[in-house]
Amino acid sequence: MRITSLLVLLVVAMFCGTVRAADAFLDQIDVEPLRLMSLQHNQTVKTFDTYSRDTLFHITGKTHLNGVPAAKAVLDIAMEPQKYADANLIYIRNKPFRYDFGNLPIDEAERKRILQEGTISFKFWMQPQTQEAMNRIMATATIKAQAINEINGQASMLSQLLDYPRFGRTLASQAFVPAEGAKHANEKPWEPLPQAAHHLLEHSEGHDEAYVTGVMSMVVGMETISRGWSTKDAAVVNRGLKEIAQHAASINPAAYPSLTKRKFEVRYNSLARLTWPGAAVYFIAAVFFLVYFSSDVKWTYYAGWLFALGGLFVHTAAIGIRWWLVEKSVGNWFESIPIKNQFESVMFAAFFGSIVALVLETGIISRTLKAVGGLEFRKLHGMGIFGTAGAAIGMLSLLALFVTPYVTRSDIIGGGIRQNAGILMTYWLYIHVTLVTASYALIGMTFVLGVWYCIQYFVNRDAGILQTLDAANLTMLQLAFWILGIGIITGALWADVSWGRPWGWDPKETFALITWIVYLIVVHVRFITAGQKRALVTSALSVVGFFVMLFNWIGVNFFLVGLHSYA
Amino acid sequence: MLNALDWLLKHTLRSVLFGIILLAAIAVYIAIGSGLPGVREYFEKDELAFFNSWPLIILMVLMVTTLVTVTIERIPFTPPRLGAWIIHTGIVTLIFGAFYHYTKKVEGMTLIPVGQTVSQYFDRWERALYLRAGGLDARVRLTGLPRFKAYDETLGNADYLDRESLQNLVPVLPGRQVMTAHEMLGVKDLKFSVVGYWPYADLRQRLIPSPGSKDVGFSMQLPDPDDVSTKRDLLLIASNMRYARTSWGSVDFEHRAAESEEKIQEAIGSTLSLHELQVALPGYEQTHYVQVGQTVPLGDSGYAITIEAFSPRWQTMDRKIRAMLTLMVQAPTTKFRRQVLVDVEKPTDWVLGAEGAGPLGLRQDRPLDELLKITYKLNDPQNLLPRDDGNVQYTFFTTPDSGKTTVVSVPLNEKAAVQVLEGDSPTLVLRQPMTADAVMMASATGQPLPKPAEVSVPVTRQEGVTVTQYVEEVPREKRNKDTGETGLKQILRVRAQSGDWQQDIYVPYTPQATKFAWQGGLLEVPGAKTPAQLQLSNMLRDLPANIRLDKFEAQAYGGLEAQAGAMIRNFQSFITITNRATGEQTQGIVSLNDPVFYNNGEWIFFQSQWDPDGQSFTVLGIGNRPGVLTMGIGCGLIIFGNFYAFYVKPIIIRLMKQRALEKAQRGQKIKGFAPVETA
Repeated sequence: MRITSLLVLLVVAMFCGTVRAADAFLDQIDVEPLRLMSLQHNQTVKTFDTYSRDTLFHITGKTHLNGVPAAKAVLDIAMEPQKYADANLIYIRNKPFRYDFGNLPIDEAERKRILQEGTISFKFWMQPQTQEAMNRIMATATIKAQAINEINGQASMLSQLLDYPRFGRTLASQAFVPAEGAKHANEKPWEPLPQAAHHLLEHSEGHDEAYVTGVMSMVVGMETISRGWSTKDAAVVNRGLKEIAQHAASINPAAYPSLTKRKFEVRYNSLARLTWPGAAVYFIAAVFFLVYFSSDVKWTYYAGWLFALGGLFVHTAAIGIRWWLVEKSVGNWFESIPIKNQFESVMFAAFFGSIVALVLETGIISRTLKAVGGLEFRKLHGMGIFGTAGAAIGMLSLLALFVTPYVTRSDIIGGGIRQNAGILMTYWLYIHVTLVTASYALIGMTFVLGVWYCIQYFVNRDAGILQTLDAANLTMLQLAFWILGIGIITGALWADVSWGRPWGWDPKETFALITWIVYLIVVHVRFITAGQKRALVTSALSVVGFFVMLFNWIGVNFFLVGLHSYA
Repeated sequence: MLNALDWLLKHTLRSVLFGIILLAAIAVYIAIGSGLPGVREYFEKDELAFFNSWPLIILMVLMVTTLVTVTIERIPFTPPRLGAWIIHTGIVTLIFGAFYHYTKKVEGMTLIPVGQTVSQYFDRWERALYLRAGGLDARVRLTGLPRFKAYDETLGNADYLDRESLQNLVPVLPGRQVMTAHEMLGVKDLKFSVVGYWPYADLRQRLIPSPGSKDVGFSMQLPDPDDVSTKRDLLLIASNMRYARTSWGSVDFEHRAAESEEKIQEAIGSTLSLHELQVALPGYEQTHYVQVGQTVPLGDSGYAITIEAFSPRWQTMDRKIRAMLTLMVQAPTTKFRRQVLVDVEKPTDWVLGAEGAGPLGLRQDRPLDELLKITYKLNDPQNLLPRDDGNVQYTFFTTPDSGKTTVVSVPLNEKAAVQVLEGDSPTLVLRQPMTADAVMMASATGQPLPKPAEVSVPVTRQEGVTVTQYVEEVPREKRNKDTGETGLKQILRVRAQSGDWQQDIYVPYTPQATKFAWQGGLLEVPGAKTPAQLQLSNMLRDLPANIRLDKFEAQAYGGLEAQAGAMIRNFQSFITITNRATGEQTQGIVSLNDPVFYNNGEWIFFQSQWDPDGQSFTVLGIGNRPGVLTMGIGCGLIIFGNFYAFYVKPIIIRLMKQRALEKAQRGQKIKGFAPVETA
C-alpha cells in the first residue's frame, strides 16, 4: 500500500517535472553555440558550459533548474532577471544557519520553507533586514561567518548574472572578449562585451580590424538575443547566439581555445568528468574477478581483465583530458599536471592503485624473479585477487568523486578547473603528492584485502585461501608502507624550502605520521604473532590504518585547521 | 630482587610488545596534540611546546632504549637481517637529529621595504616587552608568558604569572653601549612585572573624574561600525592628544578648547568660504564662494553653474591626489558637465547624453567651452573638513567656564551645519555613516549610495575628567581563530615600579614592534627625563647577515594585476645579503618554493608575506636549520633499510635456502644457517 502510493507520488513528481521543463520557448532555444563559447572567469579560461555548470551548482546546489540544464538555465536567468531575482535560487548549505533567518519578520510558512528547502531569493538577500541580520550574526558568531561569506559569494555571483541593478538582459559581466594581441588564452585579462565596446568607442584608433569587427558584431548579436528573448522569438535568439559564438572565435584566434578543445571540454562535463563511466566499467571488472576467484570459471577471468583494462582506459582518458584542459588555462604542460587538489589527487591515487594492482595480477614481477634468479615465491597472481582489489579501489574512488557533489550539494575541492595557489606550482608537489596519494591508493587496497580476509576467515576458513590473501595483503602493505614513508619525507623536504622548517606538527603531517606508525605496528605485530591469528591481526590493522588515512586525507580538512588546506 | 628486575626488563626494554605499546602511545600522544587543541591549550602549550615536552621526550627515550636493546639482543647481525638494523639505526639517528633540531630551532620573519636594509628579525614564538623612550627601543624577553588563558588579579589567578621569568624585568637597549630602561629615562631602579594577561581582548577607554583636572570630556555610546551588535564608548577630550580626534566609520570627531566665543564664530564663518571659484567670461570676472548643491548664475551672461559634488581626494591621471569639484554648466545654448581641480588650469568636460556615454557623460580631451574659465581653490584654514576616508567631520568647540558646546559639522557633499548642545546630557543629531561593507556593496552593484539616516545620539559631557583604560575580554564565540593564532588581540597588564612609585599599564600586542605603530600605554615615571611607551611584540633577534630588498615582484594569473584577492602565481624578492664581518655581498632571489640559503645552508630565507596594495615591501621568513642533515641521513637509512628488508631480504633468504639445499644434497653439513621465518 505504502509502496504503491510512493510509486504514484514518484510518477506524479516526474510528470510535474516534465511539465515544468516543457517551456515551449526555452525548448526551441539552441544553446549549443553558447555552450561552446569561451570566457575568462576567476582568472581561468573556460567554456560557457563549464562556467554555467559551476555557477548554477554553486548558487543553487543543483545541476538543473526546474529540469532545464545549466547552460540554458543560466542564459534564462540573465535574460529574465526580474523573474529570477524573486526566485528562491540561493541554497544555504550550512543547515544551522538557516535557523538564523527565522528571527526575521517573515511569515511562518516562509520560515518553514527556508528551514526545509534551505533556499532564499536574491531580493530576500538584498533586503536591509536580511543584510543587517547577517552582519549581526557575523559579528556575534565567527563560526557562522564562513557560512555568510559563502552566501554572499553565491549572491554576488547571481547579481552578476542578473546584471543587478540594471537588469540589462545581457550577459554583461561575463568576460567573453579575448584580449587583443594575446598569444595565449590566459595571457591577458579578457573583457566583458559592454566594457570592450566602450573602450573601442573611447579609443577607436590602433585596433586590429578583426578585433573591431568582432566586438561590434558581438554587440549586435547580443542585442539580437535580447530582442528575441523579449518577444519570445526563438528563431531570432538562435540567430543571435550563433552570431556571437562565431564572432567571439574570430576576434583573436591565437588566444581563443580551439573548437576541438572546447568540444572536448563540453563532452567531459556532460560525462561528469568521466567519473561514473569509469566507475561502471571498473565495477563490472571487479565482479568478474571476484566470480573467478570463487568459481574458477576461466572465461570470467578474461572478462575481468577486459573490463579492468576498459576501466583503466576511461580513467586514463579522464586524467589525460583534464590535463589537456588545465593546460589551456595555465599555458604550460608541466605546470598543469592534474594532481593539485582533492579531486585530482583522488583521481590520480586510484589510477596508480589500479595500475599497480593489475601489474601484480599479471605476475610479471614474480615471473621475472623466477626467470632471472630462479627464485620461487608463493603464487599470488592470476587468481583475481589483485584484480579485484584494483578494480574495486578504482570504482570506489571514481564513484565517490561522482556522488559526493550530489550528496553534499557542494563540489569537491578542485572539481572545477581553477588556478592554484602559487605555493603549489613546483615539482615538489608532484613528487610529494604523487607518492602520498599513491600510498593512499595502496592503503585503500589493503583495506579491501583486509576486509576480504576477515570475511573469508569467519565464513569460509579455507586455509589455502587465507594464506594467499594474507600474502597478497602483505605485498600491498609493504608497498604502502615505504611509499608513504618516502611521501612523508619528501613532504618534509618541500616544507624545508617553502615553509622554512621540515616538520612543524601541522595536523596533516601529524596524521600522516600516525598512519605510518599504524603500519609500523603491523610490521612488528607480525613478529610476535603467528599463523592465522597473525594474518587476522594484520587484516584488522589494515582496516584501522585505512580509516586513519581517510581521516587524514579528508577529515583533517574539515575538523582541523592547518597549512594543507588545499588538499 | 635480581629476578624481578630481569622479569621487568624482559617485559619492557627487551620486549617487542613493549615497543609496540610505546609506538601506540606515541601515536596517541601526537594525535591528541594535533587533533584536540583544547588539551594542549589547557596546559598552556602551543604545538611546538607540546611536542617538545617531557611526556613525549620520555616516550622517545624509552623507545630508543627499547629499540637499541631489542635490536642488539634479538636481531642477528646477518645479511638477511641487515635491513632491520639499518632501519633501526635510521630511526635512532632521526630521533636524535629531531631532538637537536627542536632544541636549537629558531624561526621568525622580517618585513623589508623596497630599497631598505634590515639586520634583525622577529621571532615567531617568543614574546618581548618593548619600551620606547626618546626614540630608542629597549626590550626584554618574556619567557614563560602564557598563551591561551587569561590571568589577572580580577580573575583570581594572577599567581600563575608569579614566576621569575615574568617578574622584575629590566628592558635593555642592546648595542655598543648597552643601556637599561632606567638609564634611558634617567631614574633609579625601574622594573616591570607582568601581572595580567589576556589572550583575546580589547583595550577600551572611559572617562573618570580626576581631582585637579579642569578638562572637559565627552562620551558617546555608538554601535561599533565593524560589529553593529555592540556599542562602544567614543571619547573626546581636547587635552589628551590621543582622544582629541577620533572617528566612527566615516564620521570624524574632534574636540577643541576654544579661547572664546568669537573664535568659535570665526570657525563657523570659515565654513562658508570652503570652495572658492574664480570665474572668468568675456566681460565677467568674479569670485564665488560656493556649496555643494548650490546654483550660481553668472551675472547676465546667460551662464549658470550648479555644484554637483566635491571629491577631496581625486586621483588624477598623473597619479597625484587633488581636491576636485564637479559642476554642471548651463551655457546659453548648451549644457555640459565640468570637473575642476585645485592647482590645475585645464578642466575636464563631459558631453551629456552622447552615444557611448558613461554616467558622467562622454569625456572630452579639450574644454567644450574655451570662453568659460574657472579656477578652483579649497580654503580650510580651520581644518574642519573630514580627513582620510571620512565623509563628515563633527568638531566640538568648548570655551572655559561655559556649559555650552557648539558642534560644527562639515560633510563633504552637503552644507555645513551648527548644533548647540546645552547641559551635561544633550543629544547630538548625527548622520549614521555607511559601513565599509555597504559602500563596497553599493559600488559593486552600481547602486547610488543611499542617503544615510539621521540618528540622535545621547552625549555625556563631564568636567574635571581624565581617560582611563580597561580590558574587555572577547567572548569565545566571537573570536576569530586566525586572529587568535597570530596573537593580535593579546594584552598584558604590566606593573612598573621605581622606588616607592608604581603604576599598572595595559600593553597590547603588535607584530614586528619596530615596523608598526604602537598602541601601548604611556608611562610617566616621576622625575624621568622623558615619557616612555610600552608595547608587547615578538622578540627581536639578530639576522646572521644584513639583507637589503632591491626589488619586489608579484605575478598574478590570467594577466591580471597583482592585487589583494587575485590568485597569485609567484612572488619574487630580489635581495642583497651582506656579511657584517667581512662586508662580502651576495645576491639572491627569494621566491615561492625557492628560498635563498645562507652560510652553507645553515640559514634559510623564504617568501612569507607581501604587500598586496603597492608591492612596496616583502616579508621574508627566517629560519635556521640545525640537525637537518642528521635527520636527512636518518630518513635515508630508514628508506634504504625498508627496501632491503622488504625486497632484498626475501631474495637473500631464498638464495641461502637454495644453497643449503644444494649442500644438503651433496651430503655436506650446513654451517651458519638457521631457519628464518619468512615474513
